[in-house]
Amino acid sequence: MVAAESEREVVEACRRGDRDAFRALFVAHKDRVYSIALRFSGDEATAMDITQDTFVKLFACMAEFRGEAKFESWLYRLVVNCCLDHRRKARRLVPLAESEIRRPFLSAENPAAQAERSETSRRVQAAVARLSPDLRLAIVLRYTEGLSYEEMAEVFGVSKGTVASRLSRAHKNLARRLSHLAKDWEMKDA
Amino acid sequence: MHEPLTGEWRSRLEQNLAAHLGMVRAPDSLWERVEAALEPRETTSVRGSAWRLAACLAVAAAAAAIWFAHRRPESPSTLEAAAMRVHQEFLGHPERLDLRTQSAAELRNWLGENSSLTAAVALARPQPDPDALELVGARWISFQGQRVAAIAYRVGVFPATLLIARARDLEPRQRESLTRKHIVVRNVEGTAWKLFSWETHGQVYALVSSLPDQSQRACVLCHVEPERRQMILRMKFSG
Repeated sequence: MVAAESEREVVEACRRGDRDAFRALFVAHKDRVYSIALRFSGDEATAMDITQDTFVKLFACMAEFRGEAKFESWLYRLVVNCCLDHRRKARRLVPLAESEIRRPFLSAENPAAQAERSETSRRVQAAVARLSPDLRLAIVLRYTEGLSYEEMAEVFGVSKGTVASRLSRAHKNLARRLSHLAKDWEMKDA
Repeated sequence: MHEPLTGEWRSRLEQNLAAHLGMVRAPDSLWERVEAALEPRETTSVRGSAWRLAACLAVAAAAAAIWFAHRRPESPSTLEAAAMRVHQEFLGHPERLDLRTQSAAELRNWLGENSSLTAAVALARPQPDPDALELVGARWISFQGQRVAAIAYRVGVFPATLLIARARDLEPRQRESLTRKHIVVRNVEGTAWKLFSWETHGQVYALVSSLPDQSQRACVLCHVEPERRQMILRMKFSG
């Protein structure tokens, strides 16, 4: 993360076309943009394309950012739009289940635990992949980025109630699809 | 309405979603890709120059449209305020509709059978639809004792609301800001919404769009012709 004050300076420099400043902004936000893209698309190549498009678009319209909204909210909107644009272009996305996510941030588990975790991840991601785009984006912003209802409402341009409704529908859908994992999770908690 | 999940299952589900959908590290090669995409293309040709000239003309046309759209800073009319209120209600209570339909034909028939209003909602959309437009339905609102139609729809995940009123039913004060032939565009304070209003063929329209980027894309409810759509998408609004 870039501290708020220095981020403002970096954003300002980007608006003047400073390529080094843009690199700094890229470094600060690339993981979150890529993560959203990957969790949404389920495919590393598509996630790379979405991330690239997001940053190219960001650079192109940096001058339009007036600092009235939080920079991060603005960036999230760009990623969300790029995700939806890619979905429209690609008539069918590769299901998440077919893509193994190989770069977890933290991995200090033994191989057996990792294999089990990987299988659970695959199932969770496959279930998420089957959600409609608006529900999937709500889940991704909530659990990949940890956004509050209020922040999500700002990104989507909807009310907090709508965000809550989408998450509720998504949770019910996921609970149904992942019911076979309930026992495993219960045993782990016990 | 959807009842919330209860108990430990919900809590475990949320914990596992957070655990398995966490952030991942972006590949190191990403910056090279972004940097390459940012490099200006150096090839030039007569055809390229022609395209550039065409682009400049399009930008000039768009700038003229923006100037027209922004030259009057009056506060929103009560019809526009009603549009914002209905849009807010649509976001919070999408079930409050008099007609639920995804069919443009059904919507047009319903309007025709119940009023003298018409809606030029496109009957056929391109497949696949680049705007992922989804009609949700419509409802009646009472405005100055007159029936006004409110059409609810989504462009991708973003909701939009279009109000249609008969121009002659409105008080002159309501029409004052709409009597010219151009579109009035406003930012809605405290939100990312944009409000478009205009009058044509005896009807007054107020459109509220939640699209955070290219809010004018909400106009594709009616405008599906590729050239018209492109022209609409090229328009830029400040704020």
